[in-house]
Amino acid sequence: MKKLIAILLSLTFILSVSVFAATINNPGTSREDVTVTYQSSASDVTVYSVDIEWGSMDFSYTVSDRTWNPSSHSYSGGTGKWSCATGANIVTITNHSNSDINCKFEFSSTNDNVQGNFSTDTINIASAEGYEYNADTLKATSTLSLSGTIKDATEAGTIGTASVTISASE
Amino acid sequence: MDKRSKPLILLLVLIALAATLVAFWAVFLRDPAPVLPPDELPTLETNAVPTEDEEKMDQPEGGGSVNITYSDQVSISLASQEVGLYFSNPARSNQSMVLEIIIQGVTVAQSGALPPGYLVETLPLLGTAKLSAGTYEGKFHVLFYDSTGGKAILDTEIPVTITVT
Repeated sequence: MKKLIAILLSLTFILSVSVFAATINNPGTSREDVTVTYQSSASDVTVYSVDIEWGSMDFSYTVSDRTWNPSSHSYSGGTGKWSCATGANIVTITNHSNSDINCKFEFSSTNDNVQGNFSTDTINIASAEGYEYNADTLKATSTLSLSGTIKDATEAGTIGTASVTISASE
Repeated sequence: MDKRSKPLILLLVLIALAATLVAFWAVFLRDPAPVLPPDELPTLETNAVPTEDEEKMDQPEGGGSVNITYSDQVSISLASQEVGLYFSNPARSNQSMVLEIIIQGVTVAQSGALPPGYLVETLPLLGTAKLSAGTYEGKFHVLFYDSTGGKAILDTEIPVTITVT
């Protein structure tokens, strides 16, 4: 019995000494792996911010003089031509949103004899994320052209409405 | 009551009945007149809130330049008869705006004037709107007005998702 107790006490002493030694060998240091798990229920809220610029949209319809042709008993010339000041027919869209946008350009005529078409019907503009404020990539333009005829000055005036539809890009 | 007055009384009763029916139709059944966008700039929207000052954008001669900042998520509370939204005409814009909110071709809300430097987060629901709870695909219809109050030749439409509760 005495031998058994002596063995147990010896083992206890040896083990406690070894633990003590380990502590001394690493003063002030306790290395533990720190693990981090990233969890987020938050998502970036989409903020749409769009610049729209448009010219005066003032067009002129100029009809040249007609010339009477006696041999054919008919007039030649007298055709009309649409024109406007430089840039007056341009619509420019700039995207400052944190999302792509889609722009659709339309013209609705109030005169059955006049048609309007934009040079580009739809344009996709990239998100402004990662671009400088005035980056050209974020700008898009479309130019309105008119065709058709108006009879006389009584049909001059407002002949339609231009519309831009801005939607989230799909 | 003589025999000659009977038809007269009957006629009067029929007229009264017809008048009652017409009045009932006018009050309860008739579709309200559609709300049209104003041709001239209305008075300032009562729910408009000023925003911070900014430098003005360049403006093409005779044209316009605006910025619109908005969320495409809109809520409508049937209990409070209010529309919750975020729509801003920042101070850097050069034109005033009027905002219409349209569901299935029916204007359910229309703002007053939103000059540059004002935003709106609440609008009253129009009495003409007959809505039930659910999610709708609607749109903002934005009209622009120059400094004289005249409506611009260009307008903008923006698809929005509208949640009605």
